[in-house]
Amino acid sequence: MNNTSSTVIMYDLTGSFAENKDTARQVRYKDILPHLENNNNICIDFSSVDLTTQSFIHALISEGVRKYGEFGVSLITFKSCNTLVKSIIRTVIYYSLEYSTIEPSSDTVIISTEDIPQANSLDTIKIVLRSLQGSKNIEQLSNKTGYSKRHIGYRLSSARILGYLDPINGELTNTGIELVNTEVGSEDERKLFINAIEDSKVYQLIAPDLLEDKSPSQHTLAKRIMLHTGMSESTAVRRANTLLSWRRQIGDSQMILRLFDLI
Amino acid sequence: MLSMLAAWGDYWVRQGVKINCKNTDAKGVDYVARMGLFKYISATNPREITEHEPSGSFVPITKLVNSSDRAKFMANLMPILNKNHSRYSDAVKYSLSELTNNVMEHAGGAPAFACAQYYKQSDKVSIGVADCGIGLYTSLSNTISVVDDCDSVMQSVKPGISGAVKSVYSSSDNAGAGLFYNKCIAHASRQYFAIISGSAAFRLRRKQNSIDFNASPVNDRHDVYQNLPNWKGTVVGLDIKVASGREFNNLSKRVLETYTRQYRPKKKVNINFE
Repeated sequence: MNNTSSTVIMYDLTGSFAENKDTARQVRYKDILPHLENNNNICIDFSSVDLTTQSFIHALISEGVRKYGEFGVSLITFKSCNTLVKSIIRTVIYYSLEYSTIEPSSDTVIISTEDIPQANSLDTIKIVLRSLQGSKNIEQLSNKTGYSKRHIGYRLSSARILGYLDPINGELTNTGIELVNTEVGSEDERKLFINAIEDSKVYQLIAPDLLEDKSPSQHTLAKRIMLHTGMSESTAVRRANTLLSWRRQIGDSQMILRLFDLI
Repeated sequence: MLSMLAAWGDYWVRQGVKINCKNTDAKGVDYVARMGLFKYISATNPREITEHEPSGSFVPITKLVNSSDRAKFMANLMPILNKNHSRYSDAVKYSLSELTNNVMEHAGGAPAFACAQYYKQSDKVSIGVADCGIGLYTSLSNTISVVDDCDSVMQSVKPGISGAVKSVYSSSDNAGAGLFYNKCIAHASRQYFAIISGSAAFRLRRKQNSIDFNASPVNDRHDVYQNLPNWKGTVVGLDIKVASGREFNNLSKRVLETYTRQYRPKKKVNINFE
């Protein structure tokens, strides 16, 4: 996460009574929304502000809270607020979260939460796939790999998402067989992972920019996951981390390869 | 009443109508002149008066066309309040800010007129804001389903209703907070709060059954008037008597609690206060 931070001194803009909504709107567009969009922290300093109105605070932060949810709230620091200012900020945040705009529109494609992976390590997915041969059920897989049944479930589900397992009979697909036969850490393995990710529904619908030079932020991915699945924010953030983790695992190899190319 | 007259006069003057004033010897005309009414009805001031510096007891009628006018009005108000009525200043500042914002946002571009008067004997401040704009029914119809003027007036004092886009609280610029907050301020100080639009009016009675604020005006002790002569626009008036800054803070806390009672998050939300 990028932690670039900046501070808005409210008194300099409003004086001791922060009530002009035009000023609030300007700060919202110029400072708050760009920071939240880019995953950056922002501090709003209310030192020497004695009084504010609910309309002012609403115009200042409500859009950001509705757009970026709790994650957006976590990026904002409210400094030196008196009791009243704090109460108004709390109120606006509470109802803005309640009316968060993170809702699907009529043309949004909804996908199942089961199509969003939650196994962070591609290596362990491969280990589970290799262990499938000779294992009749999850319990046997668990005994064989030493992973908990819950984590076996995550990895099998991710393998299905990546097209390595047939969703109907649960058997390895051709690409699944290809994968288990590749050498660990090899370029062939990396290419198969990349192809599988690019062919997956989650990549095409939610993270088409996952493998680009500039990755989408955790928040951006989480927001898209929430939009397409209706997941809660905290779950969506965890699943976004899985996708970013996959990117890192593939990207590492790519960097080494480039270095070798240069040599 | 003065804000209404100024809005009404300004409306007709803009339509090219000439306004004549009669019975200008009547008691109170000096006061009306000092408050600046004649300026807005394009009538000659009928009597020679000594214009007092407004600081101390009143804020003369001010025409608010845009946010810049409103900002100037608020700026002019500050020294008057701080110097003479610091006991009331927070509540009055808050009220006037929210009311002028609210009326201007729902006026549909028509100018709003605001004024305030401090009454020493009863120790209260009266505030009035009026416009001859589109009225609450038309304004609220853009956001929620309202049946008629009476329904609009009742809906307008509920928290979160009068935002500028569809669904409650969903506007980025408009909290729909102003009228509800002002009703609560009047409730707490056992004073009147009234709103008029179209052919309907709502008046909060001074004496309420409970000190708790009601999100719905139906649960307040109130009067509703229907089939009144049509006022094309909106008028809001209230009296404030809040004894101290501390009292205002407590009042605000109670208003906000009423406001958010139905929206309290199911799990704790971490807000970074430093």
